[in-house]
Amino acid sequence: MIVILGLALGLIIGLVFPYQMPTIAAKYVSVAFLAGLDSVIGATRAGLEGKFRLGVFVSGFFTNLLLAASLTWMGDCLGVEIYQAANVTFGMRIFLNLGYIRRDLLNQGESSSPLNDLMNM
Amino acid sequence: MGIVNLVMEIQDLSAVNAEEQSSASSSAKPAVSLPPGVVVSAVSASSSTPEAEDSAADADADGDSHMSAAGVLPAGSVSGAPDVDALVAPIASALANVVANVANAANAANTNTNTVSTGSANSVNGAEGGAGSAQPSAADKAQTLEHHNKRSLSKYAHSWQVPVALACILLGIMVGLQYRSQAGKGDLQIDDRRKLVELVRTMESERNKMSNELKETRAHMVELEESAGKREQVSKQLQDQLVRSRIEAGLTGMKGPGVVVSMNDSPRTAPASEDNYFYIVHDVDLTALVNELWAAGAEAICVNEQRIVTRSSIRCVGPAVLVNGVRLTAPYVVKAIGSKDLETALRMPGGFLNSMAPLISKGGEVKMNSMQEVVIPPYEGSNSFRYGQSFEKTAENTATDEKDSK
Repeated sequence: MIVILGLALGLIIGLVFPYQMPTIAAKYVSVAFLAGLDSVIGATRAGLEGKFRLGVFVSGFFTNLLLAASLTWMGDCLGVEIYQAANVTFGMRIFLNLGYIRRDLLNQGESSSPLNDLMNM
Repeated sequence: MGIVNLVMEIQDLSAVNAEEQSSASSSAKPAVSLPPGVVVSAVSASSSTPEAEDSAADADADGDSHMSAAGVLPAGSVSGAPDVDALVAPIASALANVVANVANAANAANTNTNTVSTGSANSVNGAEGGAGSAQPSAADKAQTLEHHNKRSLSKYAHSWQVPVALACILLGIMVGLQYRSQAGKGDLQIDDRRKLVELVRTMESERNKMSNELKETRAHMVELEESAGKREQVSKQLQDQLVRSRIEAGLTGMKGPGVVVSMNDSPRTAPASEDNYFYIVHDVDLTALVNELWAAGAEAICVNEQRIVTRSSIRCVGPAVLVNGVRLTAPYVVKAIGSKDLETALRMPGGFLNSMAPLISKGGEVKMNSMQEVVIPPYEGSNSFRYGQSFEKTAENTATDEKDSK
């Protein structure tokens, strides 16, 4: 699927690029990546269920990134590892959405068999 | 073959003339006119057209409906009545299995045009509505089929994948950059360490080679002195060697670039609860400093104008320090002649300056300065040897010593 191709392409670009990511950004990037991944998987699920809305996805993607980064930064200021809360939440949502996606894909396979069509007619 | 049969049948049913049907079938190619923008699957059987003409009556014998998926069919086909074409277009957009089933149903119900139109595009339904002769039950079935039929190739269903793919590219770039910046550091450290170890080994082997050369040269020099026939030459050589020996013994003053280190006790007094060890300069500090300077390649060292030679000692006695048997008190000024590397070696992380950190933190003072000209006085102590007897290292006893040390 084009989505996985996009991910692979991005990885290749990131690996080949002359590395200039400052070390300070490491923690922020990892949390932001998790937030972005959650947004992407949610969009995949919505797309498979026919409920995808571009505005919701784009705004959600960037809002999640910003929120995750600011949580990490606030945690640094306060000395409390607040970003763990974001990690737990995003991880939970990712697994939940993956379950839905799996169910959607399996249901697709089932319902388009000729037997099913005949029965539904 | 299947869709063309179906097309023919429908034309047969809806048209009035049989001639119209035959004209349509004879000129029919797989292409049919469509409303724009609808992705359809087309029939590939152009060869089946003459067959369709013959077997128009028994259209339900089309078990082998070969449908090939294609892009948008070219508009401007050559079928007969334009109204029929508008009907046929949505029909052609259905998938193979659906069409096969629907063809059977179409035979049962003659005017089941709408059943076939189970494309996922909404324009399909619009075209159907304009065609007339719609049957409600068939339309409902079409809707349920459309809902389950996610494998349709219309662009609409795939529209969510493009922005998601773009977002994935962004995420991939982030992760890739991150990984690169993390992994790169580790590799470099390992390589550096390996390179440094190799460098050390190389330098050590070079040094061993050079010290061997030095031994040979000195032996050669002794031979030259012995073999010199003329007295003037001998005495000149002896003179030079004598001067050199005095220099090496520290019996002459030395001048040259180097470093000056001054250390002083802390002006503060330790509180009663605390040991005052770290508030003063100790003999061990001076010993460590002198040791470090020799290791860094100093050629001459003096402590408070006391030249450090091979027999010099630095000992603590009360609040003072004995160097060469002479009592010295703080502040201690240590001068050394050597290259600029002397100060660098002292400032090395984990080196002498770091080891003086407790004293400095308690207010003690350790200052280092590289100077262009350092003057070091000669050693003025005694050099008598009452117990030792000298001997020259020759080939025989050199071999013996090496055997012993192994």
